[in-house]
Amino acid sequence: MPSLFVLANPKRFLDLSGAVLPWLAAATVLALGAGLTLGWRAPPDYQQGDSVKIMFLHVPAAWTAMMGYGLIAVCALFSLVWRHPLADVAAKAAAPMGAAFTFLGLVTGSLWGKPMWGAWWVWDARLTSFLLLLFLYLGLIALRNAIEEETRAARACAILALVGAANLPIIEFSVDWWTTLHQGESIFRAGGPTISAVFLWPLASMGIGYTLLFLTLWTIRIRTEIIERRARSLLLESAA
Amino acid sequence: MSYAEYVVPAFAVSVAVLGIMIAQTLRAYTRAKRQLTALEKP
Repeated sequence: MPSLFVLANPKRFLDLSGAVLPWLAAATVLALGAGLTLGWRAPPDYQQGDSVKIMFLHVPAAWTAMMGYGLIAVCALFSLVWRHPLADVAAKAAAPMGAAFTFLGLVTGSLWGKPMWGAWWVWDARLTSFLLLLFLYLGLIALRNAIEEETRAARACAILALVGAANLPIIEFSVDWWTTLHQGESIFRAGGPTISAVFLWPLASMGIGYTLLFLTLWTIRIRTEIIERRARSLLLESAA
Repeated sequence: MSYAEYVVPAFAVSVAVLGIMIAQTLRAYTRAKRQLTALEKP
């Protein structure tokens, strides 16, 4: 994995990310703009009516929340095994955003569930495991803030992140393993998506837009953390 | 009926949360850069 280790140098990461960021931000705006336009123009569903439009917010938020945790788990592995200097910075930067996307997934899901199921919340396997994801994110943030020494905090958070990663396949396959009120897989499935193209395109655009937004903000937050650590070390040098 | 009751709040909460996240990220970045520039001044 030489390319990843090239990024281990904070200075090199700052240079590379500085060049990529404007393009990433522009692609985010384009994808979200396309998704919102297509979503706005999508017709009401014959069963769900206008409530189907909540799908364009709920599914991308839930997908991004899971992707965020997956990225944290990969960073945790790099941090624990290879002591990758940027891995812990990246994991720390992703956690609050992941929590925000998980919160959005839960709230928009609840707003979609009420008109469809007649309930804001049910203790369904998919919903419960997704709520657990929010607690995992909050646990990572709390653990990070509870330990002052950076190396110890990094190690503890990496272990928690890796243990918590077991929840990701549970969320994904909960609708197959148990009888749930939440619908099963309708996009990435054998035989192709089961939803109409008029809903699939805005959903795909919003999914790409949310993913790019996460990556854009993640890059900025990693840059912020690197700059803050540099500032802290300069302060310590001047105090010594 | 469902538009005002459910779709609009879903969009509103998404815009609010994402907006706060974007604003907080950019504010922290600007503050960190300003602090480092001040510290690096000879």
